[in-house]
Amino acid sequence: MNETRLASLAAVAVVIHALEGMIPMPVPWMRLGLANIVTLVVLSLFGLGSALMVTVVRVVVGSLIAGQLLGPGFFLALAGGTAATVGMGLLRKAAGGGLSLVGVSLAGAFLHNVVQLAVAGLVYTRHAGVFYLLPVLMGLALPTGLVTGWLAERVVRRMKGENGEWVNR
Amino acid sequence: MRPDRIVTAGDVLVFVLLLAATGAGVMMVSRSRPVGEEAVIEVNGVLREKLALSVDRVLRIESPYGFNTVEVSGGRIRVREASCSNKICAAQGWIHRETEEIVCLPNRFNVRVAGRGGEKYDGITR
Amino acid sequence: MRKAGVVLAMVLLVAGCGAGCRESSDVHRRTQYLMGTVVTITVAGVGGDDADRAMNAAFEEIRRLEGILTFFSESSDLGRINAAAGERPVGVSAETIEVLTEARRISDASGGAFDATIGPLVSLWGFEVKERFVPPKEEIERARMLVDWRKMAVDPERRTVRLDRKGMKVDLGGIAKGYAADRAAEVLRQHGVSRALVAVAGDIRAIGEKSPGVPWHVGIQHPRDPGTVLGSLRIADRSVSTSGDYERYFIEDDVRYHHILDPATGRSAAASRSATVLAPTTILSDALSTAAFVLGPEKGIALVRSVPGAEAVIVDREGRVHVTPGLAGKVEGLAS
Repeated sequence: MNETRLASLAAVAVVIHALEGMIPMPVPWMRLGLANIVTLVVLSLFGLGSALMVTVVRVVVGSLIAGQLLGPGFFLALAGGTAATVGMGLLRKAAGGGLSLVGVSLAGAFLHNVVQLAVAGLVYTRHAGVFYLLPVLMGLALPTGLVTGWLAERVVRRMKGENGEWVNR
Repeated sequence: MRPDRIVTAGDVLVFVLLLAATGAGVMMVSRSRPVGEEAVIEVNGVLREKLALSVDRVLRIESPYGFNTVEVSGGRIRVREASCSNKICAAQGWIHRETEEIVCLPNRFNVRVAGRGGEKYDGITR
Repeated sequence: MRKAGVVLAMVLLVAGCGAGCRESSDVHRRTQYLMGTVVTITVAGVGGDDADRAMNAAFEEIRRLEGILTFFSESSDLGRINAAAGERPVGVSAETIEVLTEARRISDASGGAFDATIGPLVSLWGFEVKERFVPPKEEIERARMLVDWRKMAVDPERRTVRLDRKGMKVDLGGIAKGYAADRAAEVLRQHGVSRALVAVAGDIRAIGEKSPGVPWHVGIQHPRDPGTVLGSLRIADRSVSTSGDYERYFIEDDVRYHHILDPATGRSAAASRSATVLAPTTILSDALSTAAFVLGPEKGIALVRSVPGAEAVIVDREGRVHVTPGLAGKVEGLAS
């Protein structure tokens, strides 16, 4: 994958991430994680290395725009994002064709939330109360993972169908 | 399986496993934090009421900052109505575990769930 | 999906426990902050709505009494009596007459160990305010001269109270909470409640038993070990109060200065660590516990024995426990 494509995909991820912040949610800090669609698509089409790069660029640029570079939110996003991406890449490889992006995305969303909470709890708050959020965040990962995974799978199928650009692995 | 189907059997398995993990998490947390016996209601940091959660009731707490109507039902408590503008306290729903808390900042009102102190005795003379 | 179903069932079971696993009871307990302290009312044997109505009325009664008996308001009965000291008699409410009449009676019985005219000393030592210091000897002497219950004239016919000397002050800190507990209990009774426990801080009044054959279980605060009890009592239709040197105190030069002052010396009474008194009414148990604390184990026990229906547990300055004969063996968990 060349740099231009990677940059433009990362840009799309940043934009989705920013737009998503405007969707009203029942809980203020809750997100659907739609930017993860880009990560999933890249993972599916270009492999783990590219997906990881897109994720890191998305987090760095996103934090830069929000003015939170190197703040707690940045490290939380970085930890959650990289853990989820690496986890998804490995799972996808291990499962072979057994999983669609839905299953991969579910695992990713789950990993993302758990790792973020672990980092928040162990590094930043050191407060036992964070622990009580664990099942909540686990539960939230299920619907969000489903939605993003399903959308990503649709996008990948459409891209493959239209120009046969299947550059996996 | 039809080729245009998106969700595979593997996806379902992942979903089930994660659901189980969530369930385990819920149980872990439930076990670690006991169900409360009492609700402690404070206005402006000063104790106003302590209510046993074992008795269902509706109580209106009034203060110069406004009113909050709390409801105890089935061992849980919630803010049913409030005079504040944002109604966040009412939107927080029911609480019933120790240290769970609902805060209404505009009314300087908070209610939290606590274990019952000195439960061995009906009272302490001091 | 069977596994998910099992997990879901387990989750629901755990959540449902919140309501189901609780001991079922018809005991209603509420606490409010009144008279500068924590007031807890426990009502048993009636439905929730009736209990609520009765408790609301009882809390309201205590709030009303607080307005009459407070030391801190110039417009309260007490404020007006103190402002007119050495000048003229002041017309007051029937409640104030009732409290002061009882106060005088206990002052007589205790030889002034309990004295409602302790006000000048209380103000001097300032246990009611944040800043604490030991006042100069001369000031203690001057204040002490103004403390004398015999110079307080209570006229029940005209409903007036007069303090003979300027500077005299009535302070009901040792009796008002007990009286409030009695009145709140009376209000609960009028609302059809026959089982209740009213606790105004540590002044506790029991109405009936908690349930048939089960008296109310009241712990006695350990005077040196916060959070633990010295022992416990089972009471029904009785009152219990405790006076201790651990509630409001400061320590300076190894001397413990606390809020229970001995009218005879003008200083913190030093004979006891705590005195717990059982009596037919809370106004009596409250005032008697103060008197017994000030008098110490020997004279204190003697005083309490002279009052019909009263019993006492006194912890002396060394920590030894003294009990009236009527209470021997009836304090649960008491060492020795």
